[in-house]
Amino acid sequence: MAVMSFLTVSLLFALGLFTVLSRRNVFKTVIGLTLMESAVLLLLISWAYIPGGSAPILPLQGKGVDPLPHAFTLTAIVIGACDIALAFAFIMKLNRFERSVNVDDFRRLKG
Amino acid sequence: MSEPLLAFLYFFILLTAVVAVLLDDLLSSFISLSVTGVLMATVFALFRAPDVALTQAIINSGLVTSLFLVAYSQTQRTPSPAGECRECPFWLRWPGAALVSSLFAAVLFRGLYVLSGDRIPGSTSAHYLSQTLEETGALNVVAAILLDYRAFDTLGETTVIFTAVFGISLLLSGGKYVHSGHGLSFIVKRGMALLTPFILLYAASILFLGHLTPGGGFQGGSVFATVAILICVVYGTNFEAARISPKSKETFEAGGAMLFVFIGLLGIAWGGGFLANLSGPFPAGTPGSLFSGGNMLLLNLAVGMKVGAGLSSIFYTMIKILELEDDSWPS
Repeated sequence: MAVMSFLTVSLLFALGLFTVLSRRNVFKTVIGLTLMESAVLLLLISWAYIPGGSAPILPLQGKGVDPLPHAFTLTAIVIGACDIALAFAFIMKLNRFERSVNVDDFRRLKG
Repeated sequence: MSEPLLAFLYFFILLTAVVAVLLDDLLSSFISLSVTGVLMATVFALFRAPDVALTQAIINSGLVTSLFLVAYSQTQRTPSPAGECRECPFWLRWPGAALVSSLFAAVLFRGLYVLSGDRIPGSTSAHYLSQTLEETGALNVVAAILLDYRAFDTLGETTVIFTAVFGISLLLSGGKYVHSGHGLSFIVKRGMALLTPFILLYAASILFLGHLTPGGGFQGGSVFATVAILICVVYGTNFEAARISPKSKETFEAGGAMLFVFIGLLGIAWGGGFLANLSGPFPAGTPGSLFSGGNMLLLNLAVGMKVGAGLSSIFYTMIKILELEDDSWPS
């Protein structure tokens, strides 16, 4: 089961990387970043799971799963959402200046 | 946990992710990404992480998609670029990226595979699981970690949210307010008016029972932000700005941060240390009752105020730009 999770995490991260590297639309770049973030979240949560474990709510039935990665993941989700919102704000501002959402058109800072 | 179900969900996660990447239509690809988010939330619930599942469902697949819709409708008159680089040689267009990312996937999988094996929680996690009730009085271990053991991290996290709100307001500032939509039809408005108290009740129950059940300040605050967003969409932006003014959102956000720091300083004043809980001035209470877990109820309230006000003002700042006339936004 762990192998299945790791395979999915690797593929998801690679898919995000591929999107960031190859697509020219800035919205697609944001999608790629989101996918990479999701892969990391999935890795942390599947890492925390113990076969037969129960949710970390007291009183525990049997042994509980690892609660520490859950806390990290929760933090990461909220911060990731804020990052994506900031990225959207940048896109809106860039679109206002350049009338484009194509990465190749943003050349003003290029030497 | 049944493995066929997990394999099924993983398959659809990868499928929707591929669809989100390959589709040319941005709207469809973001809806597909939102489906990926919901499936991920299901997987988190299967992995016995209810707090994370709740957060993922509310924030990542709900709020982020709504923010995308705003950004997309601002740029929809802009021609969408072709998928790949036009001037590059062929191998740079997609084969290069595909090669790099598949090599990366292979290395990543190999590394993770070596690490796989029987998982035993580390001594820190075992301590959290066995001592939470005694040391904090809370029942939800994740909330205890976030608001007691590692509360200082949570303060830092709320600072990150503040920075994001600050950056977005700075980027999208200016412009005179020109016109606002009149909202949706009468039936939708009445329906929203009937639903609002129940959504608020749901948000409050998630927020205030965060130390007992899955949930807490982040999730509850996000549902509060959802109410503001729904009012914005259903009744029009001007109505929302008149009822919940941007100034009062700012006040709420600052108030949340002040409350958090004030609770932390109370611990110092008591001789315990910054954000001291039971060793500070706060009683443990009866386990399982609303007033238990020391300062966790108040900290949840502070985080909820911060997150709710922050996310709703992000949405308001972004949607305000849509309704400006083209020339009135200074660039």
